[in-house]
Amino acid sequence: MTGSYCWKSALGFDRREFLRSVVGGACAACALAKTVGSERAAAQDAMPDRGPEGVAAASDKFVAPARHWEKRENQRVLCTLCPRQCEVADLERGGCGVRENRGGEYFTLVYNRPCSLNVDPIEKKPLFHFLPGTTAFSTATAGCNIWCRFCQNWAISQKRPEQVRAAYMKPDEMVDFAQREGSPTIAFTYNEPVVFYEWMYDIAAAAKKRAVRSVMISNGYIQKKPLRELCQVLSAVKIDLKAFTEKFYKDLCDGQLKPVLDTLVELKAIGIWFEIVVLIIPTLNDGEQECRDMVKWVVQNLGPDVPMHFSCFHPMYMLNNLPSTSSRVVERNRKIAMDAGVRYSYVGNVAGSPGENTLCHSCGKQIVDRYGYHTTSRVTAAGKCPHCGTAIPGVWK
Amino acid sequence: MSMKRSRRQFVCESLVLAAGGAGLSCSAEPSNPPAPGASTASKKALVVRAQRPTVAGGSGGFDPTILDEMLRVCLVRLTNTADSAAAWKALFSAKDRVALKINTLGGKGLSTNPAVVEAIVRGLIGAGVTESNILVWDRFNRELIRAGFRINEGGKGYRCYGTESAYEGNITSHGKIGGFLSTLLTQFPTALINVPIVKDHNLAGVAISMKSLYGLIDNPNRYHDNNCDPYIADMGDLPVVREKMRLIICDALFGQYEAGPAYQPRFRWAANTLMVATDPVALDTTGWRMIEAKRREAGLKPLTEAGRPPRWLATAAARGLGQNDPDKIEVVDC
Repeated sequence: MTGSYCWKSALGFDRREFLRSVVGGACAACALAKTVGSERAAAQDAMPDRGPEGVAAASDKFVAPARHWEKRENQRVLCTLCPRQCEVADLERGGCGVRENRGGEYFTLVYNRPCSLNVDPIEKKPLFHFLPGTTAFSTATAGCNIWCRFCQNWAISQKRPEQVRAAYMKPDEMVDFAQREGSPTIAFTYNEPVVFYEWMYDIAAAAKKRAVRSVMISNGYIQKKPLRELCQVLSAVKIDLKAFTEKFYKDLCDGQLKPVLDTLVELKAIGIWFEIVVLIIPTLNDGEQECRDMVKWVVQNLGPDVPMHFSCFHPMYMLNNLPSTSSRVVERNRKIAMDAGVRYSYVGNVAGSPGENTLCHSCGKQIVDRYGYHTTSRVTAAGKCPHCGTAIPGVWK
Repeated sequence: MSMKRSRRQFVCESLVLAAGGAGLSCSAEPSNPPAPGASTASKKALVVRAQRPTVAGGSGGFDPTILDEMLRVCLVRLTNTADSAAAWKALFSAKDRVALKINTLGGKGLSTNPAVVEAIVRGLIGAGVTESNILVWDRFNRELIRAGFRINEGGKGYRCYGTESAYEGNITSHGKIGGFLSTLLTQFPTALINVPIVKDHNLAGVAISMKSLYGLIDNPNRYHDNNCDPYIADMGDLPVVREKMRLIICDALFGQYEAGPAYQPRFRWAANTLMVATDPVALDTTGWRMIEAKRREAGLKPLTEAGRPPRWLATAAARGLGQNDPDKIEVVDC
């Protein structure tokens, strides 16, 4: 870390203590996270970020001009970052809860404001075809632009920034930390990184200059223009495709399916590496036909090389009344995907399943072994199968 | 509604419902029939207004004597009692802990006025409520301060502070809303007074008493799609709101008819009015009509044509929260 920076928290702890507390717990949290759902953020205690006048005095240091918005009459703004396209009046916030109109100018309230910092295995994102066996320095802020009733990180994603304890970390400091921890990658994850676009972009740009890569773990709810700009500084993206029906997105996420499909098509056009995860929830999106429709669309629109992960749901947040997903269902979906032409399909949250290993799509031999977060990759540095020499899609060095 | 009701209270509430009013709670000592909020003759929902051009004092202040008189006449008429003390006692008892939910988002130019709050506090004290059992609140301290209130978390006088991050630990899910409620709603009061203002809203159409309830939950940003419908109705329908809300005293000393919810001085007018009701839908419908009248004067389109119809009013009425049909609302000007 930059030694000359002196940081004092209004919360009574310093940044070094905060970072030690989350990084020290990261490895112990890994195994637990694998069983209860991937990409679970470190536990967050809701703690007011307040000074003598309440939250404002302590929080304004996190305020920065927002990008991707337009002025409207009467000091209103139109946010053009995500498909919600919120028209926001003065003093109000967008649907994400972390962008605010102040006097007709739009601001992000979470710049330099991480509420979660972990060093995770890259497979936890999950990204299986991106530098396997390495770690990603992972971060998040409060807020999200949709509202999934099954969100496993709801304690930060469904909160406003003033409700969540946060550190203060500038982009270069984030890169310093990643390098110090030996992580070749920074991951923007846990909540929806699109809502902290400005900080994410600046970190990724700083990281790129210093040969550290960046990946975004996203719900895909972003407009084309900001996505294109962002992909210039990212190295990979993972998209959560929640379901393949508008009804699911409307009823359970307060969102829409079509913008997410548009994002997937755009990622394909951009040429950045990306993978798809589908969380399978009993009775809600676990139907066989829905899976068939989804994988058919993926193969037709994105091609056969986009890995698809089918993960088991566990009762969470507002869906505590449903059982966990049976491993048979995700294994079935994986088979449906591979039969439909998806070359690389995996199961998630099923510890020890052979469905987590990577098999060469040409010769069928196992080329990456995974058990929990123990990963052994035999893919060559040139990205080829060590047995038959076939190019394996992904980023291997 | 809470199941813990005395027989007298049950009868009181039944009268309110039969009169077309909202299912709001009554005090433990209900008034003589008809119940608060019910029109005397026509069984319509009742909204009582007092307008006094002289209430505005010099240098931006308001005359407390005139405010007291406005509040008195409104409440006496609403409760059909003899005097101010009886009116307040018809709705509140000395055992009550009363929270006043005010609206301070718009800053000093467009927020609940401290002078109105002071008049309400005087009335409550006159009913026997202990001053330290009165809480004036909104979401944030900084908004309260900006609107001219003094933060008091435990000193002499009535309490005044913001929720900040004091939300319940368990999610409340009701209709389309789901989040964490302010403990200043759930834990402090036995009774709630909603003290909103009258303004338009760029999405909801109008932001009066029911829209002000967005300050009760931690994630109001989630509830603005579809012109805030049905979310505003869902907030008003929360069991804890229906149980505790006793009265709405609308600070319409100023109103704003365009460019809300923030303060835009060129669209603000001096209405010099207080409105009281126990029916939030009827009160908001009345406030909507006031806004539309000013918009007509200014040559602006009605809100429905401007793309922001307050359709949530019909949803709220359908939920039994009150009356949105102007023909079934009696507006009494005192």
